[in-house]
Amino acid sequence: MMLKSIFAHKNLMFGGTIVVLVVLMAIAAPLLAPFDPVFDADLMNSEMPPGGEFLFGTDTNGRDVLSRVIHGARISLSVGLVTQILNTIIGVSLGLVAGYMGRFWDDLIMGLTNIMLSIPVIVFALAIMAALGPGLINLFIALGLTNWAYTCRITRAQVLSDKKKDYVKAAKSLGYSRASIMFTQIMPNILGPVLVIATLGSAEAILLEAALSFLGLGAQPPTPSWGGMLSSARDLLFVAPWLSIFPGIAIFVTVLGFNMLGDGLRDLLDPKSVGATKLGGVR
Amino acid sequence: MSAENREAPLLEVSDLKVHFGEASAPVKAVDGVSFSIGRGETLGLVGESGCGKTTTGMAIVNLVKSTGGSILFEGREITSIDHLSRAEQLQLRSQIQIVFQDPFSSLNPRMSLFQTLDQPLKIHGMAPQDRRERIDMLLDRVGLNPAHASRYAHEFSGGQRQRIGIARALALNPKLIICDEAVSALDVSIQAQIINLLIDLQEEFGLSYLFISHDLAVVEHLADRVAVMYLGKIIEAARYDEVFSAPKHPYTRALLSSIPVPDPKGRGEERQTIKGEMPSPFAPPSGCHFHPRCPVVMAKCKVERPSLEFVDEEHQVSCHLSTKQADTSLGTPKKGELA
Repeated sequence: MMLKSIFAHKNLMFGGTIVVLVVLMAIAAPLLAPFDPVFDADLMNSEMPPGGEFLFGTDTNGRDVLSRVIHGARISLSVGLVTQILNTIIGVSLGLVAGYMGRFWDDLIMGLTNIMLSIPVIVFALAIMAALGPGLINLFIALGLTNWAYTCRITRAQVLSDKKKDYVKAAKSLGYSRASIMFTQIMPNILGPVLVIATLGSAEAILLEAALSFLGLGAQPPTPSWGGMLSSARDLLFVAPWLSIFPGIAIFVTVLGFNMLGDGLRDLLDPKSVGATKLGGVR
Repeated sequence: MSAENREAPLLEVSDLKVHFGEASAPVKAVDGVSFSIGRGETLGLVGESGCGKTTTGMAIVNLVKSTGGSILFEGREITSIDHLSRAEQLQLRSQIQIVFQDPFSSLNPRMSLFQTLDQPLKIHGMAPQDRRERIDMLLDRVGLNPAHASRYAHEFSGGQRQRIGIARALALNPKLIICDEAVSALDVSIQAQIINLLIDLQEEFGLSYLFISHDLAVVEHLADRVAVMYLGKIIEAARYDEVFSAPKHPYTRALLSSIPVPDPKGRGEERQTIKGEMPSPFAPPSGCHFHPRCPVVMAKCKVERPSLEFVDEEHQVSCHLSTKQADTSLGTPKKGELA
């Protein structure tokens, strides 16, 4: 029944397929890529248009664009994954504490969350990157620490509704500690919406990575990163448009895939949404 | 306090108050409730929804903070447990357990039946082998198949879920179980099964129950004594047969006459129903809280609030009509405690 309802969601199917393909591409990058993305540089083949030996053409240094786009998936996906794991851990923990403990903790954490929401993530991330310096690890830190506010809010709202349920009262009367009520009783029941936020957040993180790499703050050359490739291609937009088009399409398709997957998951997990099945009861 | 010949009650609640909201204009959900429950005894606490019966139960298990009065369990003060150490709190928690009304929200949907019973035992420091044995014993006692222990809550029916809730309450070997409308959400046939199960368990484990219900017919099967609540106060309390055969308070009489009679010939002419809704606890009526709905209201009722008085050895009523009779026939009550 569950499998059937998954197939009934077109968004979920389509987005999921794209994400799975991109993930497979990232994992199998060395096998799929016809050339090494960094070391197979041949200035004799500089800025070759797509076709023939180089399906997506070559860049200024004569590197195969297809190979670099394939390897770039590793950077983008690791950014999406690592930052969302960090964001989710921070957001869920703070949301649980705010929602369950209430009063002072709620005011404090919600105040902090509102501050985070009032600053555009890119500006915040830029500030952190400026302080830490460019580089992939610093990018993980910057994006992982700045984008948890939505997760925190959603978690808190879920906790507020779940903590009134009798199973939480029962746990209290059985002597569960506050921490175990929060993390072993309530948390497993609220992860559905959090999963949706994390999936949608991955798409956002991939875009932010592209933006920060475009500004020269992300993965440093010669690491193949989609944003970095766009950045170095911007002067050659009219001379060698394939340098911009292919990484651009890669970003577009991947972000689209994650967004559709997130929307699909939301439809699947939310019993109130149109076309939802009885899966909500399992949640 | 109790007479010398009587054993100290298991639970003694005196003048319990639970007020919500601002201190200047509180909502008096529970306003000066006193009762006691002996070992192996069942007290039925009945009343309409909103009368404070559930809040009373929640205050006893410390899920709601009481704002006044005292709760003694085995002679020990448990009105607030915040000052107790974690070990003492756990010990106390194991003694008083609760069974909830809604068999669907009272079980964690993400936990299997085994986990539901295993985790509390683990928290209370039982060894894994003992836990397994105890869970098998509990499932057997409440009539569930131990082979189903790996199933999740949604795989059980409402009646089975309520059995799980009872098994969970029994897990820590409590002395007192608070049944908060424990059968109200079930079909009548399942209700009967669960009530019989509760009676069997009481005999086997020597349990005491505080059985909270709006359904007098259910309470009649279980309770040794019955207390009727109205708007945060107990208005009548007596042995169950007295309440059912000789109710004194007009509200109790109205409640009793609202029990459906299955035999059409047995239906008397004078079914007495009460008009209107229970008044808001935000702005309770003056004098006796029941006077706007009372069929035998007197001028005095609108001004003066009656207190809960003994009209008989074991029968307390809070009504000007009854106490007037009691003053003349029985004299001043001797005991300060609900028998």
